[in-house]
Amino acid sequence: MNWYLFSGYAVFWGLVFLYVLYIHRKQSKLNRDLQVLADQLED
Amino acid sequence: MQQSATKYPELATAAKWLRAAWWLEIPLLLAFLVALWGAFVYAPTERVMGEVQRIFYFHVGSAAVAFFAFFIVFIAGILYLVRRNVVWDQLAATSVEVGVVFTTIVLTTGPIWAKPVWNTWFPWGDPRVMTTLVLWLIYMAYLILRSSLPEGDKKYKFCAVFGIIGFIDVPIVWMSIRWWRTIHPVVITSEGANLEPRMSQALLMAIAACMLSLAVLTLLRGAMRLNQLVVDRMAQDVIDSKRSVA
Repeated sequence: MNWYLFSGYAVFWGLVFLYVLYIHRKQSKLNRDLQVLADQLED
Repeated sequence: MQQSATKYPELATAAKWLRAAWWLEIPLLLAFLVALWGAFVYAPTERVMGEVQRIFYFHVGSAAVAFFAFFIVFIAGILYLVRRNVVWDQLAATSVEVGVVFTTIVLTTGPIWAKPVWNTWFPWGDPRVMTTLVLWLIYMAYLILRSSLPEGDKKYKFCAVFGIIGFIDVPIVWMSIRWWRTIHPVVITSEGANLEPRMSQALLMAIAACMLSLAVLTLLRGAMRLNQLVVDRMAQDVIDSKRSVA
């Protein structure tokens, strides 16, 4: 097994999963903003 | 929030995309493990190039996904011009982002493979390499132009046309190794893949994993873009309503 190549693949997929986690966190923040704005509009 | 959902239909689309991405995340994790097993354990070592050839699965998988992402840009561009629905524009912009990431991977894994095999990091003048570089530049230009234009239908129309015309390079990249002399081998022919069966299967596993990552990233990023668009519009509406009260 070529460990350099294997770690290259693993790092890439690790980055993909980190990005997915980042988007989920950002999405939660956006949802909070949406809720606040929707409440302001309905008042 | 109920009122907002009817006033801003993009919210429902974003929620659907998020749900779809959520369902695809576990399959993506499994596909990634299977692709690693396929490339490093299941596929045999190539006789001439040795271990470094295993980069092929990732290199070609990323290229296939980049082409597909730009095809989505092409279709979404046409649909935006026909229907004038901002969802199609956001889908196109997201696909460009993901497509550019995968094209960057193609352009970085290529030299890593080329150095030990062709004794050069970057074969300048090779039609496949040059057309791929042009493809990357076209969609980088799309992203730069997009970020510099003010929001509105004019920007979305311009980006749709740019995305449609930019797609012309994708079939040129695909055909470049058939039309011109190049050091890239023709692996996929009309009779199938010129590969040992286990290598073909490992390639399919890698393409499936890359396709799933394209789907998850596009859906998540697209949903985020749509929600951001609604947040901006809502914020403007709040300001307008406060002004009208005052």
